[in-house]
Amino acid sequence: VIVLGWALAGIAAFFVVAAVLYLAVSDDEAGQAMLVVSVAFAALVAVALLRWGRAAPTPADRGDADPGDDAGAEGAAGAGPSLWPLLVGLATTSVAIGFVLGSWWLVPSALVLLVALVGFSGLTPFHR
Amino acid sequence: VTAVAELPGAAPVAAVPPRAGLVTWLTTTDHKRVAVLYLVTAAAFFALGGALALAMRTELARPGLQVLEVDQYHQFFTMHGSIMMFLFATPVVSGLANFLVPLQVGAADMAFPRANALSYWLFLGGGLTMLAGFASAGGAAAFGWTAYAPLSDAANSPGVGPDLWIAGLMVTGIGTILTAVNIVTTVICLRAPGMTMFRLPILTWTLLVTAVLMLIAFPVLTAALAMLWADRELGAAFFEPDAGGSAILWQHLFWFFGHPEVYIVALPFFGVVSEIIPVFSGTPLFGYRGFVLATLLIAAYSVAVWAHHMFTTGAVELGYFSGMTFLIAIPTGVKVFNWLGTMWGGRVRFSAPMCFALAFLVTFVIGGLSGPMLASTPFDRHVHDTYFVVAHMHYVLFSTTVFAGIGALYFWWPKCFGWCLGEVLGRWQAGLTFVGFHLTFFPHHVLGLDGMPRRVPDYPESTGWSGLNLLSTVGSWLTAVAMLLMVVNVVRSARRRTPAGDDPWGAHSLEWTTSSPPPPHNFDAMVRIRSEHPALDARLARRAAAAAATGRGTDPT
Repeated sequence: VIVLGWALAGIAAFFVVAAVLYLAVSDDEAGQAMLVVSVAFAALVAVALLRWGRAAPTPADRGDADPGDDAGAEGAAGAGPSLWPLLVGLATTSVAIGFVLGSWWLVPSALVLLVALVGFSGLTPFHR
Repeated sequence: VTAVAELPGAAPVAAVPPRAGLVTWLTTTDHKRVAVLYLVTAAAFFALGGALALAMRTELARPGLQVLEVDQYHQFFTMHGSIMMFLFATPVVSGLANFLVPLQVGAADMAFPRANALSYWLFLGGGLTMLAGFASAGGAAAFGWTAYAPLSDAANSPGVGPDLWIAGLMVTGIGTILTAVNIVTTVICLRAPGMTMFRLPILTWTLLVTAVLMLIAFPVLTAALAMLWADRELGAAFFEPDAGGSAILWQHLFWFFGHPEVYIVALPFFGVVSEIIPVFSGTPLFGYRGFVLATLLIAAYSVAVWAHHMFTTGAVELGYFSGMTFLIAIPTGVKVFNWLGTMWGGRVRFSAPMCFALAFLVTFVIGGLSGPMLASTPFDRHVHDTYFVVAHMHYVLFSTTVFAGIGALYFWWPKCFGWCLGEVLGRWQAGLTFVGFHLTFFPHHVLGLDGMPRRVPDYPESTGWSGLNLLSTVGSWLTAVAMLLMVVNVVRSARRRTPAGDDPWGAHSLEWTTSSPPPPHNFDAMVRIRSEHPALDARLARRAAAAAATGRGTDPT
């Protein structure tokens, strides 16, 4: 993780150089804004990864770690089948189409999306 | 993550997956099944995009042919580009990442399995929404896949089709952003013990960097599309010069997404060939760390060169963008030497995946060479919006997404399904695709230098472009036949189902240490990871142990 943090810090440093150069040679405000935001975001993530990597090194970051060294750690073990991703996907698409067709389609779609998002987030007892 | 220490000498037992019904596929959150959904859907979209291309090439075969109406032609080239970029190339990356990232880092699934499934449904829903424009009264969007303002505004592109294009693209874009979050989180949080960053398989490195690029690029596209929709439907004027907006602003926003997008659909396939070439050269990748650094540099540069698509607007800083674009050739060249150096030190086997990797290498180098040519502003002014640009982008995009993509299919098919695709037919397909592709697109360089503009449905006989256009059309049909060979191979191989075994190639990375197909939780037993090629290490250790037991030496390769 620390390696990735430094990699992103390097990318942020490159963006700093690119942004300073661009600010100096161009009056295009859109490009200037996008490069400055890129610097900020890359630096933010780099700092977060470096701090996290140092504070909580994992067995994955230890070159001498063996299988089983992360026993008990929380990880993805499969979520099991669920209909909610399909429903949220359909409802989101329907909302997007609603922006084209009009409120008669948009409003019901938005309501379905709301219900689907509640189910997706696991707030219902029947979320599976 | 549950991990089980390796049991010496005990091969994992391949789990026989239960036959999946429709409900299983509709409700799945298993990354392997989501990957199959992605790849099958993307292949269907590829077939549709290819059919549109064939219709256009047939129209252009001879001057005066009227296979398509002018309006139809505009819709076809718009939807061909949109389908290939957004509904084929990008989702193929998502499919590859879905199948391989958890297997290569030693995880049981992606970090957010439900969000992962949602990403797929958003891609499918958005894609079908984009295509629905064909069924609308005015037809599909017809402003090119770049949707330049003011051509894409309500006055110049009226109708529902363009709105459906915008809405659908936003939905697929949100799905892509979710996929990127999933990839980054999986790599950072779910690697197996000992899988340090510099032991990540090179494909996972490229997918990780690609995901970071997605997170930089796709939100900008989504925002730009929202602005375009507001211009069209709410009377906003972001891109309307007459009302104080700027048409050039659209180009800045689109290409700030669009240029990283080129690398989003290229970097993962650099990773694919970097997995294939070492395996079929019998040696680890030459210059692993240099390759990683080059990948990071390409990603960084790709964000800073967006306006090299805009030289002829007269509204961008030529020196800055030209210089940055020339620089990007350096890390790209490093990769070419990584691949050449790997083959140079190895013993090359010309299996089907390797044939596709070599086809990629030759084609990509030619496409890569025309990149710095276009970075030269005087040359770019000469060939801007001509077939030279069409040639360049197809050499780069086809080499990566199709040559390397099909190579990936042949390479990982046995891992995914447990049986192999036909080798002989695979080699024939690689050769025929190579010939067909170069017949189609190499003439475009000459036509472009001669001034043939892109996006026109016809040309006068007096231009002298007929012969090269006919050659290109013949090549396109040959390429289509080569693609059909893939279907034939899949059908024939599915009937035979030649068992693949866990590692039919003698491969290097972690996924080859589990069964084919992998069990639902991916690994019954996890090997010890001490390098970026744990499967190779495990195989060498087994050979050494066997040699020691029999009192004989062993070949270190």
